[in-house]
Amino acid sequence: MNKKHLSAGMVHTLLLSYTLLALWPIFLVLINSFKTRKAIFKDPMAIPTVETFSLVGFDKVLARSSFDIYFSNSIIITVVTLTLTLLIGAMAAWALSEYKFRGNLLMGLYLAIGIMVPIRLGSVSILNLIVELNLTNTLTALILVYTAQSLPLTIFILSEFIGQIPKDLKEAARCDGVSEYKIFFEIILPLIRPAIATVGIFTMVPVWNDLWFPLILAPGEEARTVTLGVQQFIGQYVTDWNAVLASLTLAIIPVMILYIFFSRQLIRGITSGAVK
Amino acid sequence: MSEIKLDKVHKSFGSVEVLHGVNIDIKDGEFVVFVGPSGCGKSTLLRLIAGLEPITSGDMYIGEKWVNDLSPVDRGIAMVFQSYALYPHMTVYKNMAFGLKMGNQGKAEIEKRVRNAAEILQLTPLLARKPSQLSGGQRQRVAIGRAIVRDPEVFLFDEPLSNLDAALRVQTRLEIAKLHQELKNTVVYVTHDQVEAMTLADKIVVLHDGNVEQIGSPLDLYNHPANLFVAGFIGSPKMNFFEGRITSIGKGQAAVKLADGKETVVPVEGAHLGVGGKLTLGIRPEHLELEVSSGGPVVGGHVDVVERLGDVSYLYVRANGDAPFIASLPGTSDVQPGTEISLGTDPIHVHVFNENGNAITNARNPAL
Repeated sequence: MNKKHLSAGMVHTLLLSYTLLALWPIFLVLINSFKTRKAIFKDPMAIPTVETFSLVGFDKVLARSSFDIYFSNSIIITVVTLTLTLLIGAMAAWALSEYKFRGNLLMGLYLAIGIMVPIRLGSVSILNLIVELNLTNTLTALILVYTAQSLPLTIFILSEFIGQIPKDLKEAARCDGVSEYKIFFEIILPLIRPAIATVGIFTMVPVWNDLWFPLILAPGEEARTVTLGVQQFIGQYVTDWNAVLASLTLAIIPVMILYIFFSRQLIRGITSGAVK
Repeated sequence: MSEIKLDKVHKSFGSVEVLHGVNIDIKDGEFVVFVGPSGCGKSTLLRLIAGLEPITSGDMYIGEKWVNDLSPVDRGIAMVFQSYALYPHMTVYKNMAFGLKMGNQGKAEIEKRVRNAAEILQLTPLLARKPSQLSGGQRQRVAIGRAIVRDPEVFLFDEPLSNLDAALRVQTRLEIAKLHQELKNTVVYVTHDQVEAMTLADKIVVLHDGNVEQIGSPLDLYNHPANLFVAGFIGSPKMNFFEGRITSIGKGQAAVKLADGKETVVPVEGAHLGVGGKLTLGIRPEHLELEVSSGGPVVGGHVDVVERLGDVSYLYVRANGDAPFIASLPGTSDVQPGTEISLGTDPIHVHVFNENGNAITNARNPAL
């Protein structure tokens, strides 16, 4: 009797059932977005048939609302936040793990606190700050807040990875006369690409999905994000399920694309052959 | 010109001092090997020369320049790391060209230098490969190539062979020796392997606990070890040591009573010695012989193990009343394990060390 290891079959069953559980709501959203309103209510679990098939939700979302603006807003916010977070985060992680300076440890601790304390606790002061900076109803406000929110974890994870890069590599580069910036961009960054991809996915999802900050910082029509835009279909008395489900379905697409882009970077064993 | 001069170089990590005032002069074009047991500070010393660690106190000159505060590049050095430290995401070609690109060399010049180095190191067919597709020996050659292309004044090698298997190690050792004859740069080479040190070096620096124990040519160190540490470190198998006490002192010789009770006469100047003082006799395994005739010390014991290597046989002897020792006899001798044996040596081959472990000149053979 080998009790230590679950059999491969058990592991697969467990993982498969979890996958099913996780994908079920998404599946429901997908199938129902292609059904008529009646069919959604009559049998939410049914797959769209010839009679129940309808694109009325997509029509409403794409043709009769400003969803193109919401979409581009969401995409701009997510992409700019990602770029800023990954660039600044990686540089800060490199500085914190490579250079020994006064306050190095303190700075690391300060950032660790950022991981532990949820940024939403500071919503009121953030709102005050944004109002004073005249940034309400702008994408900049959201980008700044999201970047601040994502940086601590990014720096924490990336400095671990940078710490694992063999010291000899950096020293070899220094002997070669490579400047510190070049070492970072041409040696360190390519080597932590898998880590950056992981952190990218971690950062992207909450930013894309967030409702809170768009609601309080940028509720205006021009700066509205997809998640906030969906809310206009959810009324106090009537909810336009066709439109809600259609917009959610559409909202999956950009995240999927970004995910595929990042996951291709997750090449394992990229440092093999560096040393020994 | 690229001579290197270290003047009272100290290095501390925090409160721990690892190098206690090192003075070394390295001539232009010389192949110098730092050798010592692990933790003796030899790698630290190399990193100080490279400029990867700051010097705590003292002065260092490369060429005529005072280099204490210069960065590695400005010192004109190139370093080959023990772990090779190749850039894993770059091809062999790019690995070698990377440093040159930073130095603002023209593209054609870079191409020429890399091709040239690849030719010397037989890397030409491998230029398009990534480090992960290379064997250990090939990676090592790429690491050396990366140093060569920069045409440095000084090559620094940090235990470059220790990750290779035995056969490859011998081969690469030869290649490095040949390379040095071709390029004639100054080389500083760190190793813990005294065979590498003996075979490669023009000059060996023996380090121990952050101090320079002795500097000299390989044969110098073999024939005239300055103290017990160098005597025990250089030579394989190790030199045997026999402790004894002085019983009488004559002109140009002293009588010593060894631990097994036998008395022997060693040819040393007795001026600084006193009767009753402790002495250590050092005899290399290859100088012990079965025929005892020359009036030198005789040691004996019980043969535990005989290792027959063909050309020589190593006898591991449990001595009568002293530490065990090793004798190296010609492969033709048929001494069997388990027998009692008596071995002697010519007094000329006896190294004598005083109480502090320092060598005393052998009066019969002052050159020794």
